[in-house]
Amino acid sequence: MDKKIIMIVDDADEIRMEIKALLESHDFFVRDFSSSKKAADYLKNHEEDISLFIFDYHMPVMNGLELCDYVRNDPNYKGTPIFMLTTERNADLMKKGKEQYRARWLVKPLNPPILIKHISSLTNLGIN
Amino acid sequence: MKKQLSWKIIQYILGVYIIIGLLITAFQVSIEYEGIKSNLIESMEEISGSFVEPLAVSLWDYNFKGVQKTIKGITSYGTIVGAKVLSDNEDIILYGKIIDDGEVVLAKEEDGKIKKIKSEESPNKLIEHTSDLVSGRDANEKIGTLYLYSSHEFIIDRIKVGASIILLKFILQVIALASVALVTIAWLVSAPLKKLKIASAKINPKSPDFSLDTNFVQDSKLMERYDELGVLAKSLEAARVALLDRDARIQDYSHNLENKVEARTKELNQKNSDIKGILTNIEQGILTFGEDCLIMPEYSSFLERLFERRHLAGVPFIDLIFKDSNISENDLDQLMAALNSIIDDDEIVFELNEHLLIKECLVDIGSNKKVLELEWQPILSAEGFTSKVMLIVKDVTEMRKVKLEAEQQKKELHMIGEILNIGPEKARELISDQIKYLDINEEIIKSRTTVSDESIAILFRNLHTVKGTTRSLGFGGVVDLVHSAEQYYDTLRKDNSCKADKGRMLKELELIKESFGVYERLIEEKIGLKRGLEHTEEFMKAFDEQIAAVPINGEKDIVRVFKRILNTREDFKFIKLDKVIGGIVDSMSSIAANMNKAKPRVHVDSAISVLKDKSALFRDIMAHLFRNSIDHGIETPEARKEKGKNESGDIYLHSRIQGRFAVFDFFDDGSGLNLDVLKNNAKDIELGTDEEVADLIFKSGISTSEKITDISGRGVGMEAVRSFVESEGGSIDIEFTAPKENGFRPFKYVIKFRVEYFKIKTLHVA
Repeated sequence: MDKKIIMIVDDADEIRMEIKALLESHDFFVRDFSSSKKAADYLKNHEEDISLFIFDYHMPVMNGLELCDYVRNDPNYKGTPIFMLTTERNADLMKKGKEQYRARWLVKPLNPPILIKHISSLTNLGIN
Repeated sequence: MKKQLSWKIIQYILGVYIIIGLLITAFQVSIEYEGIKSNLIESMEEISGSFVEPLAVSLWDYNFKGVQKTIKGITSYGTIVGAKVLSDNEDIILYGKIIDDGEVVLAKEEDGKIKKIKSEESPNKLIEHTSDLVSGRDANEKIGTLYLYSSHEFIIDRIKVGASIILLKFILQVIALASVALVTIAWLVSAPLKKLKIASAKINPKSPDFSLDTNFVQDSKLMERYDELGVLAKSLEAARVALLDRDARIQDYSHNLENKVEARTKELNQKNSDIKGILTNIEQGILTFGEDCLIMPEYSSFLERLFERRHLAGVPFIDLIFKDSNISENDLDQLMAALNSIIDDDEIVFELNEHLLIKECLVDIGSNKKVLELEWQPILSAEGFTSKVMLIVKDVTEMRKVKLEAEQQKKELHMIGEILNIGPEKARELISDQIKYLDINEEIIKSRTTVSDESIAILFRNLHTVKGTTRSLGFGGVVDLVHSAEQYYDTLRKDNSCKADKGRMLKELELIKESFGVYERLIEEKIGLKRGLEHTEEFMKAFDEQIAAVPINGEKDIVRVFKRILNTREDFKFIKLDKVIGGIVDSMSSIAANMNKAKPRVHVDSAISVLKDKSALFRDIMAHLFRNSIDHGIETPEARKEKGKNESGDIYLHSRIQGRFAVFDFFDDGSGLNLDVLKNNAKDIELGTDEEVADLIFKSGISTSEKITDISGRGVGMEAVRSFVESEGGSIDIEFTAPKENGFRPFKYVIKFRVEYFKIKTLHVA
């Protein structure tokens, strides 16, 4: 069976690499980008079957929610699960993310075993 | 009436019948007419036949008068209204009957001349008959024509009667038919239809006549019919029965439903009151909150007691729990962010953020510090989203304290084990040696502003020595500390770029010394070895006693005395039992006072001595037994008085030799072992005999004491005692001395030790 592809977009290299290493050690294929712009460009030019997105909310130029908007406008990713990482609380943003983009918010620091458990089950089901 | 089906049927039937009847009647009348007409024509032929000859003769002879006369004769026939004779040369010889007021005026004689009359003017109303007039010589020679005229009126006059009869007959027929039809339809259709109409009204729940009680098609004949109405009646009746049945079922169902609703309501009420009961009585703080993070009105009463605050509904739970807590702003922010993520999303999000929900905190409530354990539970909506979060707050302050103490005690027991392993005296000696090394190190570190390589080497060597000794001593509590300090020295030694952190080094030394200090304290307090030279003192005292006791009479005696002294040295390896446990017996009064009990009397075999090397162990074991005895065994003076016992109580320690073992019986005159409580405390273990139950006191965590005291009863003591005894090749068991009474059973501890450890003067040989 082909590896499931997961896209991580986070401008913080350390966190991105940490998650990448974690996912790769559980047999996922990871596409990682340090900015929303790069990720959006990639998605525009490549047809890829991405099973799950992990976006950091706080990024310069184009934040995680704006990237959500971009991804959800692509018919291929209407129902793909999105995990949105954040450190701070902002009820309105979280509400918008949940309601408009069906994004799930994860407050950092993450809990790796639980993260892997849910990523595995969400990507296996193939539904949001 | 006009709307009735029967009326309509009759209308149609009669209408059709009348139309057909009238057509037939008209036909009959026309036939009658034709018959009369042909009769008329026949009689006109006859008349003309009988007058043709004389007419022809008269005409031939131009005897117009004769013609005239004959025509007159003809016209005298009632049926003939007029006649004319037309000669061949069109000289009309006409003669007619004059009908005064009618139009039938054929000819008129006027001044002896014959004039054309209006005879042709209304020929339709006249019936004409013509006959040829022939000459007397030749029958074929036509000389004129005789025209006879009769009137329709004759026919009509004659037909009037016949037609009336026919019409009357027809009318009678119609009446008869109508009445027969009416009666028949009424009998066959109208009446049953009326019944069915009433019946169907009864079947209609909206009708005021609605009733299913009686058989509403009450016409048995109708029911027996096999025509459409009969079938209809039967199906109506079937419908009624079905409706009745359905009604009954509906009633049954609604009754059931009512019962169910009632039962469910009752259940729900019960549940609600159960929940209320739980929230009122549970010894846990339970609260729920939604998106706004405000405490909802249904929270447990305990929450108010726990936080010493009332009216908590609507209070932000963060304020209530974390305001005066040890939780940092940062952790609280994380908690709030996690809760924001969780609320209104699925369980996956709850699990992904659950680790950020604070599980424990230390809070200041009033003047108390409390340790709170927090449990978070999502409450899911029907769609599977977390609509609310339930927070369960447990006060674990006491539990933590007890746990900490138990751990402390366990640790101490372990350390005592470590001390006893090498012997308390040797341990103390070695410890003081190690502290000397540590002091040297401290001195070196303190006296130098920078720590040179040389000094590091000395420091390392010293600490390495300490580590080696500590390891061989088996002092686990210290080894790790020394090891990590030594590692640091090693790094400093090997890596020149690394600058020595004096503060850290001093702190490490301090910690190691503290750790040794704990061992020293245990040696002094628990094992009872005081610093000093009591051995030497004892020896000197014994020596003096021996010398004083023996009269010296010369050389021989001196040898004898020294022999004795040497023997005494041998004796000196043993300590008298009452001396070994003297400290324990002395401490009984303060322990007893602590327990509000009187100091018990202790009865010990004084004839037995314990090998000095083993005395500490023996003392430690005995300390446990004595403490247990006063804690659990001996009752309060009041209770004892009630039972008729002496107020202080008695504790016995008897010894005997049994094969290779010295056997000690330890018992008191207290209440005995509380077997019921023991059994209760060990719910998960299957137990049979009292002996099996009693053996539980040697198991960790099980005690008969319902209240945890400072002295014993934490269930750790007896386990340690058994392991000490067994490690020396001995055994300790319980033997019952009397039957059970009120859950309690008197018993004794039977402790077996290797006989070599003891010296017994008065042997109680078993």
